[in-house]
Amino acid sequence: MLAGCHPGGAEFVDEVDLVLTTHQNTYDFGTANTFSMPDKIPVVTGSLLEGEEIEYLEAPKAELILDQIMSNMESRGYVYVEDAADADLVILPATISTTTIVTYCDYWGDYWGWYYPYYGGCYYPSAYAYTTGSVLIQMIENDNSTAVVNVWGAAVNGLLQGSDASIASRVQKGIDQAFAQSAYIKTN
Amino acid sequence: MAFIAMAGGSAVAQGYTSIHYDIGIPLGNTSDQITKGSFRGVGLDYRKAINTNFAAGFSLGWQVFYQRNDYATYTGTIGDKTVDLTGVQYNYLNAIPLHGNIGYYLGDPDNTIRPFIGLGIGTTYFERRVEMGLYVNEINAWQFSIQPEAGFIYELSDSMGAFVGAKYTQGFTTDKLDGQSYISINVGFAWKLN
Repeated sequence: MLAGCHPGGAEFVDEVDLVLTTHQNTYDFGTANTFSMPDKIPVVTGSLLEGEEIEYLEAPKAELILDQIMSNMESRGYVYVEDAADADLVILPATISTTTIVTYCDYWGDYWGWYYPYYGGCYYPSAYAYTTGSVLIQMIENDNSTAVVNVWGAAVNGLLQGSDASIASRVQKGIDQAFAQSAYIKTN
Repeated sequence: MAFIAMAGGSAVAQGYTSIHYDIGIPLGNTSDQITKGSFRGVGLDYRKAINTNFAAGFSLGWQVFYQRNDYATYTGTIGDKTVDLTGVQYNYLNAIPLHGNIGYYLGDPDNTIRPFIGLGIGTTYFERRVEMGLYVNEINAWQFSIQPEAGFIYELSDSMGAFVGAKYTQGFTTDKLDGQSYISINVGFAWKLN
């Protein structure tokens, strides 16, 4: 209703980075010993049609994410196996990016125009855009049944702004934080 | 000429208008979200004398609370799942109190310093906003509120005085927002009404 005053706020790109994790309270991560991961990371576009090929993240960026997940899992005592059928846990990373375009009016002027509404309107239309990216990580219990039980999920979200190196650094930090706030992920 | 007096032998009442800078101190449910004091506040009071000791009028104000919480993890549950969210959190509370007031002015109307106590009853608009990442959670609520106050006016000239006071604003819980409360320290000036 009434507009409020919102001083301060984020000044740097990394101040809007978020890490979200969720896990099944009933699952004992200590009962698992091995894990598996694909060697490619799909890009979720939301517009994939039947028969179309899946888009994958470029290899260098995918390796960075996969290596970071691998490093965290191995430091907690889990052993990587290549064949997903032999793994207790299957980890499935994916990425998604969204571009948001915001339009606004800097000045509503009193001028005559050729088109409706002929008088008045936005004199200085402006717009800006920003792109956000998320790394999504699913951890599935591989109990060889048909049911898919997602025992842990993580989302690392932030602005895709800055150099590739700075974005990579923030992604790595985000994945590390996802595991840091998940101390229950460890073998017995 | 005194603050809050009746002109001798006539029906002309006096009073004052004050404008003051307000410093806010969060309390209760407000301090659960924001513990930092607010140095962004302003208020306006209008009082018309009823007699030499009582005056009635209204008060308006605007207080802005803001607090940045460093990178930290917040935990909750959804069903049988635990959810942890980590990031930098920005907390805001905008409070706009609107009250009808009645005040009692102590002592002789001709004294240089005129202490007062009062009570306001009305409503306060609260906008509570939390920002994390690129996401915002905002709650807007009108709450019934009371506003006891105390202070004094120090007469500087025939037409104005220095105004010093404190107001306690207590909002009552609605279905949208828990009751918010804070104290504001008010420092400013008062101009006499003729």
